[in-house]
Amino acid sequence: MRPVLLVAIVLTLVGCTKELNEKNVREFVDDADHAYLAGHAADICAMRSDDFKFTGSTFKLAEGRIVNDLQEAMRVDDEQRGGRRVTAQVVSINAQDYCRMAIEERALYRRVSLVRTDLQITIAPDKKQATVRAHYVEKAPQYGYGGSSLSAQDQVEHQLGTVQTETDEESVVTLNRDGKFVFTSTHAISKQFRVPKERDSRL
Amino acid sequence: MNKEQSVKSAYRTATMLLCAIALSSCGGPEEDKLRSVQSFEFASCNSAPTTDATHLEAIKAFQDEMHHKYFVRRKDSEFVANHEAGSSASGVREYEGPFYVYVHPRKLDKLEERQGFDWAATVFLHAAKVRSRANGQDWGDWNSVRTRNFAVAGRTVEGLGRWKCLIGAEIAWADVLRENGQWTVKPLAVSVYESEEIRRALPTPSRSQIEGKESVETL
Repeated sequence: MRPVLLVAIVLTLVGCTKELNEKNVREFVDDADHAYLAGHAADICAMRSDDFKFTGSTFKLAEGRIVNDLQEAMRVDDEQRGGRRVTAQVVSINAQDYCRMAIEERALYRRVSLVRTDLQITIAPDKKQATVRAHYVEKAPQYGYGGSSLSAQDQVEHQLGTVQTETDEESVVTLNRDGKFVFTSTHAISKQFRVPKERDSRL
Repeated sequence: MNKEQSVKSAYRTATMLLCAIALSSCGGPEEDKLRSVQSFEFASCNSAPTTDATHLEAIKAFQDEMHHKYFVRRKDSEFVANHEAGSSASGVREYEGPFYVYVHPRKLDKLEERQGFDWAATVFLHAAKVRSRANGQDWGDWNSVRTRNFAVAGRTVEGLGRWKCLIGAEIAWADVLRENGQWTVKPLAVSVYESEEIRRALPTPSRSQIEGKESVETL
């Protein structure tokens, strides 16, 4: 057998037998976080399967107030509501819309700070699927825009504040037809509140 | 010329050459590049080295009231203090050049006319890169400064803006107005701060604060 053919067969077999383990799934999640922070929309899209589904519920806490952390936000929110139920904004997005959002919002992704405070990876017995549970703390700027004295086509950007979002995510990771890691679903529950203004690292 | 004279002459020439190289490399920081913006339409945006006497006077007023008041120059970097409410958020920002000062002459608005001003411009100081260091921390990564003023279709976009005629992005800007030969500078933004928050850039950072040996005070 020719060496080239042998190498091709071996590589094919290696591709077929690729398995998920905690280390390579963790690396994939690290890469996904990096793609988000770098605003690499193409990578963000490529890391989702064709049938990817995102569902997210966001609870806005302590509206109209600036608080220091989640605990204070929950305490202030309890006081504001006086026992009334908290309602969430729920979104459901498919792969196409998720990609479109990444392309449109990529410049803003570069302006957020993201800290992952927890990551738990469970590998399925057949090693073809992993469930990833993570907690993220994200801080994103809020902007207002004023007119420019120089040109009608320009606006001057003003940072109004910073929004902190604490999210518990559960994602399913699998291998696609090409043997590459992809998220097939992500379910996120977020708590969002305003914190003292965090300065943009690009200004 | 005998052999000894020839060697001495070559030695003198080499010494002079080395001195010249040393002097040129030990010179002061690179001077700011001064530019007047001649057209502001996106398609035809154009700027040229400033030669107009009025523009040069406006730049001098801007440099005195903005650049030299809020920034500290060390070698080829400009440093700004960030006096925030908390110590962990306070620190120092370093900007890397080339530094450009752009004069954008503009029409006076009605209020300015009523106040007696006869000439107006918005003057911008641009830099290429920025990094920051919070008290007690290491320096963050270098980033390209992004624009807050010169967007495309109403959105600020990294790497675009008025790329044809503006280099880098703005780190300070002010309205500069003239009334009977007297100059008035109205600061609009310094570093991350705008309007009433500009006071958070003062006092400017000391040498120890720039070197990270001392914390920047809170405000």
